[in-house]
Amino acid sequence: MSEAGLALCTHCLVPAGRHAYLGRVAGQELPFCCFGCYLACRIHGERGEEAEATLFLIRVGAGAFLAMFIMFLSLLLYFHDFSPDQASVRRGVEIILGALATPAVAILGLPILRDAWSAARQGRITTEAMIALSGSAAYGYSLVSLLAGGHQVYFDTATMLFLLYTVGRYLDASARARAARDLSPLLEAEKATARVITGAGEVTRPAAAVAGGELVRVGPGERFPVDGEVVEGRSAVDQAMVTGESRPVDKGRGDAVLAGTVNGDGQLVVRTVASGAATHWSEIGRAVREALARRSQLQHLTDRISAWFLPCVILLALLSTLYWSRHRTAWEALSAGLATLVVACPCALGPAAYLASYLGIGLAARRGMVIRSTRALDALARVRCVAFDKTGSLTRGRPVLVELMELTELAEPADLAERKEQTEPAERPEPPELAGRTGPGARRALLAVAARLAARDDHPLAGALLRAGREEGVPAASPLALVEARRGRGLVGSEGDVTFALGSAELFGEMGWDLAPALAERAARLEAAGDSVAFIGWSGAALGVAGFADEVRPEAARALSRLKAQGCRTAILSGDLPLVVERVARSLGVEEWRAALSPSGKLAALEDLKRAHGAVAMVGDGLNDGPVLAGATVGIALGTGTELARTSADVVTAGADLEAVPWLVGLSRITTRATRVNLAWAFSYNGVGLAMASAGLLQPVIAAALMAASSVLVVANALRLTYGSQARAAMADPSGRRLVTSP
Amino acid sequence: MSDLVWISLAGAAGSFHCLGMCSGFALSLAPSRAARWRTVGRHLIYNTGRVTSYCFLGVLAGTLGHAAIQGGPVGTVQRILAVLSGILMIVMALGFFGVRLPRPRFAGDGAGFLLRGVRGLLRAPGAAAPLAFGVFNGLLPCPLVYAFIARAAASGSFDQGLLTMAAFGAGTFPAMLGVGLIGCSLTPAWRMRGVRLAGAVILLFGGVTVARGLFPMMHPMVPSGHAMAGPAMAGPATAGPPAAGSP
Repeated sequence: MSEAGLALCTHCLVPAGRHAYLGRVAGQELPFCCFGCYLACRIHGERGEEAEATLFLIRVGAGAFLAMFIMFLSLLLYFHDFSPDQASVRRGVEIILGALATPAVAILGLPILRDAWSAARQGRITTEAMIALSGSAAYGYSLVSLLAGGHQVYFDTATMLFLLYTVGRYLDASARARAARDLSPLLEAEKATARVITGAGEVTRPAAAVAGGELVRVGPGERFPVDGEVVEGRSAVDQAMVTGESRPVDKGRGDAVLAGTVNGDGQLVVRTVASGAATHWSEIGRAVREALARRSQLQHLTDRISAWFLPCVILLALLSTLYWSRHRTAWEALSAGLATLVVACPCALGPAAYLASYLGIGLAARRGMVIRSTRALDALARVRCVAFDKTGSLTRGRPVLVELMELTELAEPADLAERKEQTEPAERPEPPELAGRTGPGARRALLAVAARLAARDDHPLAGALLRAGREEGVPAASPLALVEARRGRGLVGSEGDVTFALGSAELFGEMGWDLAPALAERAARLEAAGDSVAFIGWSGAALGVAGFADEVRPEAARALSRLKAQGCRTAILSGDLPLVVERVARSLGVEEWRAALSPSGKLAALEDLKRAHGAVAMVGDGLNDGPVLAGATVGIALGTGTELARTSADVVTAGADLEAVPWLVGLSRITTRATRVNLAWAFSYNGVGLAMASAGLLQPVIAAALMAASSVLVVANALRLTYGSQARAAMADPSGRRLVTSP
Repeated sequence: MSDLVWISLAGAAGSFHCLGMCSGFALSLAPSRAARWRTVGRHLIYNTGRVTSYCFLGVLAGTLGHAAIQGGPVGTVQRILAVLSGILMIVMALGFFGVRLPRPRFAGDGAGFLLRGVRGLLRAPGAAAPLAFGVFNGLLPCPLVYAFIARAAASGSFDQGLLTMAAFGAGTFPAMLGVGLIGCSLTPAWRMRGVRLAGAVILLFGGVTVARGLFPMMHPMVPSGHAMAGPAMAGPATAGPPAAGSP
């Protein structure tokens, strides 16, 4: 079943895998990825009661105390030359050692032994089994030797193995939990509850069971469980989890709040806008959980190696013991076998090696971006060419006014504007009176009229005119009374007895108004370049023409130059007219572009790019570019978490922010590099360690210390590379969008 | 033995530093209202746990130093080790005089994490809880402890390491016990004086250790420690630690 496959470690949130380590905490059986996480979870009392955590900690502390004393006394035995008449002293020390070691082994070793046993009953050999075996063998050997009156006591080896293993696992799990701090708020969505205000008072319900339109109370410091609108109260809200913005935003009555964000000091009542199961937060949480559980090819490979790893280690240990038993003392032979068992560190091959990828997915998720799998992250790191869809990706997908041409015989605009603002009817502009008077004023007059008409409509071109009017500081006047809106043609309005029109040549033709050849010619030229046009006129004549083009996103140039700095080629694959695409490509310095492509043509062009450059990332708007995003090595949809369910892209960014693309490329390179370094370390450590241990060159205690250090090192390395200097610089950036470059 | 006496003194003076941070723990180690002696017992146990951890760290450092010395050409590694640990001690000592150095980023995090976990121990009843707490307390990062661990490492033998840290721990014992029992704390001015004194002693030790590394013929001030390290170093040279026990 899918839920089991998606189980994440209760403590550190890395995937616990199909055969999760099941630990009992506070009477509940919970999945863990390893013994250390189980340990840390109990020590910190995250799930259970504090008393339980304390009890556990007392055991570890007392066990450590005994183990340390055992070590001091053992060192005395090893290094002090006991003269024959001191034999009784020596015997006494040995007996004390045995007396101290028995409770120490019981305290430190029994939990490990128990866990090894329960795993063995499920048919699994775990690292705990190795430690349990080694520790008990050392203890048993020493006890037999002590009872038989011999001097070969190695109680320190037994207790130190258990102690080092326990401490090492704990440190490892603690470091991983630190990493998990980024992920945990995302995964809390599934467990979120809401205090719903009903007629009968307040009821606590799972957020998923809250419908739209209900009232929910959110106390200070609590996380909003649902998307909604504030109906009561005022508070500063920390939206970092969803928007990456670290400054709290003040929210009062009527403001929208997002699930997953954290309430400040105020008490708020929120009316939900949708079901708690359909929030941005829960969508991202679900996607992240799936991403963590989905394994890359490399992970499958290491899984397969890990499955064979421990049986091979046991075999090697046996062979080593057998071999050395012929050449050395019994203890030395046993010690070589024990060291072999203990030095093997399969955890460095497992989740620890992939920690950086998980951290990367978590880092992206905290910026509202979803990376669907570690495979996508790996693939993104290999990308050397990024192809963009044009409309809606490189451009805003909405027109802006790029040109406004007025007839030379246009009216003096100031007069005109003043006249229009008067209540008396405007006079028809008299061409002779206005002849030759053009300039910035005329442009303003045209814009003013256009804006007053455009305010009556929601057509994209009308919006562009309104924005242009605002940007150029044309005084806002009341919208003109609308006579009629002709769909696809334009708008006709009036004030007094003057009629105004804004629209296509057809509109002016239908109305029988004059369209000066100069205007028509300019319009034809604009249309040939791929721009949209609209004429503006009044009193029976078109007096100007406006050209509109799709606006390039303001951050596009920055994003593309960063990609180039990262060594990526850029390309545009568009269905738009060649002239338009070429203009955008030139303005942004894009190296390759293909225009007038059908959806299948885009796929073919993408294949060409793949042949030329290897891995290619495709950036599109996610909804219309589905097939081509799916066809790319990595498909990046510029969208939002709520569109997640509808797009097949490997990566979905938060909103349409192009700078997320180089950020993601940088992130993927950092995490992939960290994973490679870790895997290389894990393989070479295990290789060298096993060779040395089986050759009898390592003491079991030193082997255990090396093993613990190795797994801590892998975790620390992942943390350092992911949160280290460059990555931290990106995180410190308030916009959270700065480039993370791979060194 | 004069070395160890000095270390104890530095520990005692340095425990004024501990009073800043660790006395908080000692004070919150819930006193047993029922019986005064039981409170004394709890504090004795806590401090024993703490000093045991110090000793363990000392043994670890001494053994590592020993291993390093064994691993390289005779004399050279020991000298390098002496210079390095001497510099470390000087750096730590300067810290007590207010010269702050950048700290590794993760060190503080780990300590905070451990602290959150062990806080529950303070209120737990029984003798094992203060013991466990003392053990963990002894492992918390502390510049004073680091300085003497550096010296333990430079000694290049486990027994010198053990003795160094035992002497240091013994030095911190009275003040920590006293604070725990009497429940009063020193004024910041006095604490500062103690910290400066400890810093001065560590600075001196650091200087001597560096000097020993640079000029091996020179045995200024305290030759006894060096003399003691001799046989201990010669002993294990014949065999590695646990293997040495095998006949």
